[in-house]
Amino acid sequence: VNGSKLATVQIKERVMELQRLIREIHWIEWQLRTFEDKYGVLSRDFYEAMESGQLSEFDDGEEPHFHDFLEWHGLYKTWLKREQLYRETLSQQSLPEQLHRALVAA
Amino acid sequence: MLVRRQYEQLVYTLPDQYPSVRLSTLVLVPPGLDTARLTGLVTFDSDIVLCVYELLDFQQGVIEAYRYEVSRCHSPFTESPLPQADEYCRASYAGMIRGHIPAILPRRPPFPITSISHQTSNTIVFLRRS
Repeated sequence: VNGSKLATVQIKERVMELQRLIREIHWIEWQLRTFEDKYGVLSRDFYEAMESGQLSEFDDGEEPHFHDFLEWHGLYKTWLKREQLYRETLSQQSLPEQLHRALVAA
Repeated sequence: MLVRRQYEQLVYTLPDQYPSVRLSTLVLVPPGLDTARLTGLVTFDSDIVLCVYELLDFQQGVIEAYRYEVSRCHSPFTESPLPQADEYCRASYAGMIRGHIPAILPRRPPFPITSISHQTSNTIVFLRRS
């Protein structure tokens, strides 16, 4: 019985972990969209340009782009890590299984 | 490595922990997530103002992006809550108040969240001595 309870708790924790992760990913994406709308560039392209040093001319401390780019870069880097964690967590079970568990937890 | 709750405790009790801190508008948003943004300003004696921006990743335990600007305000901040903190820091970041251009921040590596308390402490100690 204890083993069964423990398994149930672990299932609920995993469901909650994924739900929390999704909420976080959505918040980050919401922030990223603001920059994408403002500058007309998708975050992936901006990030790759920043990482490859193509945007050095903007590294001049001028506002508002300097602060925007600082945050945009950091947010996308964080998004990449969360996306990877989501994939890893989800890969530990089948997607229908996750949906069933979410329904049970709800 | 500090968890979010510990970091909130640190940030929201700065004036209590450090006598040289007069006022603080630092706020961590959004609530409840491992990704959060810390913004606001901290005022010290001699009308010195520290504008703070941090993008924190509590899951990895790093400050992914950060920016600090120290300046001396023209008129003393004596009100609480502080007036127009966001505008003050924007102006500070834009070079209207500050005296130097910051380093190449987007390319700077993140550092552990444990370091920020140390770094902030050093800043406060520095300001106290100056």
